[in-house]
Amino acid sequence: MLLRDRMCALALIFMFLCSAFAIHQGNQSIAKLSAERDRVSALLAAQNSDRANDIPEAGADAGDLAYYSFYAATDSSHAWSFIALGNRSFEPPVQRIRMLGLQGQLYDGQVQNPEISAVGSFDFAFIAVFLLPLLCIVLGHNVLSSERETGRLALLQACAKQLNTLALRRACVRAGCAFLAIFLPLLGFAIFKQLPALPLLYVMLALLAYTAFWTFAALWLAPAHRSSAVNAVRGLTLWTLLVLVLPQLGQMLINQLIPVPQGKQIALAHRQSVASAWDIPKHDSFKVFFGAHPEWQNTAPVLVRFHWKWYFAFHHAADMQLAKTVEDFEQRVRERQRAADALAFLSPSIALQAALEIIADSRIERVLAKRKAILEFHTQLRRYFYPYIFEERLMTQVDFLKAPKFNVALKR
Amino acid sequence: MRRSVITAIVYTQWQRWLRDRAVLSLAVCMSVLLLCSVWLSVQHARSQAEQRTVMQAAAQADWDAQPDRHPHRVVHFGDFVYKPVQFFAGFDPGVELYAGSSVYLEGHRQNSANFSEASQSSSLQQFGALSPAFVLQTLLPLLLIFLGFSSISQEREAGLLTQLLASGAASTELIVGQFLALLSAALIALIPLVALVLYAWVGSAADALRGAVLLLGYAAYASICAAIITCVASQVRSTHAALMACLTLWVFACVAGPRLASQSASAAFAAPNWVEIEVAAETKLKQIGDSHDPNDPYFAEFKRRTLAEHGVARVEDLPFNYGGLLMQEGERMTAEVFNTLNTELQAQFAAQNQRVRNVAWLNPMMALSALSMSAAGTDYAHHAHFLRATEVRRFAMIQALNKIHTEHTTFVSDKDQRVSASFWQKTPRPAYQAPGIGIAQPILLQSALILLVWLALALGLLRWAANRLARG
Repeated sequence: MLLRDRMCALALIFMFLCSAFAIHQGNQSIAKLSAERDRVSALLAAQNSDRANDIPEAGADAGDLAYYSFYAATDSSHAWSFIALGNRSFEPPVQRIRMLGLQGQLYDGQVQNPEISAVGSFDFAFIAVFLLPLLCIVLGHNVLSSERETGRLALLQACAKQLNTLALRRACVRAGCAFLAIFLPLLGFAIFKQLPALPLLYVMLALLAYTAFWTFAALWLAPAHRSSAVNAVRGLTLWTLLVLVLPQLGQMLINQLIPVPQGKQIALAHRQSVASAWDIPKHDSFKVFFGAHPEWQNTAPVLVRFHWKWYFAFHHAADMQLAKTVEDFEQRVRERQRAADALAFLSPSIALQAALEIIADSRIERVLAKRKAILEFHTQLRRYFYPYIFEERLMTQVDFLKAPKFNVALKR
Repeated sequence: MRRSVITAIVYTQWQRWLRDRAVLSLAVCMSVLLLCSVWLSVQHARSQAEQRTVMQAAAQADWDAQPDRHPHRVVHFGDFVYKPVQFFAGFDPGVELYAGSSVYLEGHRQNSANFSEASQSSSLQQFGALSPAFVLQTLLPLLLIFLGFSSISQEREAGLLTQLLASGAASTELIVGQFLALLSAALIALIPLVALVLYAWVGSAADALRGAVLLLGYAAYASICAAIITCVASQVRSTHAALMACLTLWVFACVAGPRLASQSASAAFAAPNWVEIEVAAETKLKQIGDSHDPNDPYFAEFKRRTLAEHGVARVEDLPFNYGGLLMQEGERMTAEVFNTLNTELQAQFAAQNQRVRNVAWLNPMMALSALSMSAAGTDYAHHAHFLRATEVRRFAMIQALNKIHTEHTTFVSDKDQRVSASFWQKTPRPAYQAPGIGIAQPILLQSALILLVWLALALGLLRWAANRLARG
């Protein structure tokens, strides 16, 4: 009895420490990503201000400025993103965007250490989804069987009504302890950092439901007449199925059944479209471009071999021609996420992971929203530069510095 | 040690397992899972390979369809390379899901490898993918724990242990018997791997070598697991305590440990952002020489030298197109700068991975995981080889085009000229040859050494357990 209690206490302390450490780790990862974001944004801003300083009084060629100026497009995170890192561990936190064809630059910079990403992150979501159920099983598998093993079951069985109440009460106390062990560090951190309260409430509810599920699963799989060891094996088998096997099987099936070849096709088609513009009559590229921007149709025609008007027009024409493929690409990616969310009905671990990633905003939806925001920013940038380019006006320092800036927050 | 006694113990243990319905259903589950994972993983690797072959053919068709062009347009047209899929990627996908699978090769810059499967996946990717390697690394030890935790502790609990030892079975025989029973169960789980290796053998000797390393690694790992479980089961007072002790070890080794090690390794060696690399390269290149700037000192000197060499006063009088020569010199400098930066980046990643592999001295599961990825050809060392090889191909191709630019166009009205499309066919673009297992030799040696040390330790532990049991 003493040994078992000591083991329970150790498991609870271990969970408490794991939770605290995972919060710390997640927080550090987010801080590192923010630092990277700020660093790169400052770097690009400094480059642009250098460029602005080089602009003579009378102004400079807007085409040159547009071609050489890069703007930071940052990924977003918020106060609660640390609980589940999700796809943040391999999505670039900041990219650079210029006025050229967007599809040729949008997917650049996916540079991360794949061996590190492949292992998965050590964040709060991992502790909650993987380890919390193990704690529930450790605490719940011998609620009754230990009584039989110590020979007190017969005594308790004498009043059957009391036996169930006792089991239930004991299970509830243990579930409460498990919940507190993982939740108290989070609560402490939230109070210390004065984080918004609503997400904390959601996390609390999700964790309570998850703890309840696993405690009762452990209890249900652990009847008094079997040995504690066998009961533990039964609980562990369920854990293996729901936490390890089913999500992984689902991931394999989804990747297999919903292939996404469009990403690679976008890169290839964009290159082909941009490069072939040099071999076809300029008129053809302009025709596509004027379809979207008729306002520039009546500006001076391009008769020379090279003109920025034509250059930026065919770059945008390439994006226009790719619109359908891009839409298909995002559709497929969304389908994958929808299929994964449907699997959450089969496994509470998928549901909890999804819930925490939604709270943390660490899912593919954020990436797609970011790409949409980049698209809108790119459009603003084009619209800002076009008058100078198509009306062949010089751009002054003041005009250049007034160019739109990327702000992902506005688009959420 | 009497062989007959040990055989009898193994036989009895197997009989006990085969009579136990719970054990049987677990074993069936495990077999189904293992076969499922083999089938799915191989299917996935095959469809990835197919996708990439289709894309590579499309890129080739685009290349061949190029009209007469100015060579510098071809430099900007560029080329795509898709990473081929290794045979054993179906067994251990390693970094396959997380590493970019295609690179765009063009002039003036080096691009990142993009479009990894993970970047277009659902939130399930945090759980990993079900591969045979995962089943054998993580689930097999769990199954062995379920099979073995009660092997000797049960006899002890029932008070049969002293009786058993008194009846003539030596403690060594008992322990070795239990160990061999568990090991035989583990080796059965390796049968699909054996089948894969045999299949590879028919295909190529290089893959057979990879398979042999995989088999040895997994067999060593299975032995380590079986020995540790037998030890714990023989020493702990009750079956329940034996189970809990084994499970604690398993959670640390197979579930929490790898993630913790990776996370701290990536925090220990900071890697730059891709934009920082590009900006650093561009800044550096501006400093050493800007070919677009007529007053640039480096290129002014380059021009003076070239003119002096050919004894002419103007670039127009050179026997070749000076513009093309400028491109060659510029590309040489670009490649040099990018190579330095990329080498630094890859070195940071390699340092992170090395840190993880050093932690593996504490955790044989991580040693096996490294060995498995490296032997399967799906680790970072293989991926980095792909990245380096694509750069070699890029550089050779761009410089060949710049040479055509230099020799087959003239300096006057340079950009208005086109050369015959037949030149593109002659441009060197060798297909990527995946490296042999040797590329990961240091990793394989270290991992193998860790596994051997652990194997020795585990067997020593068995001996110690037998002695302790004999003393009662």
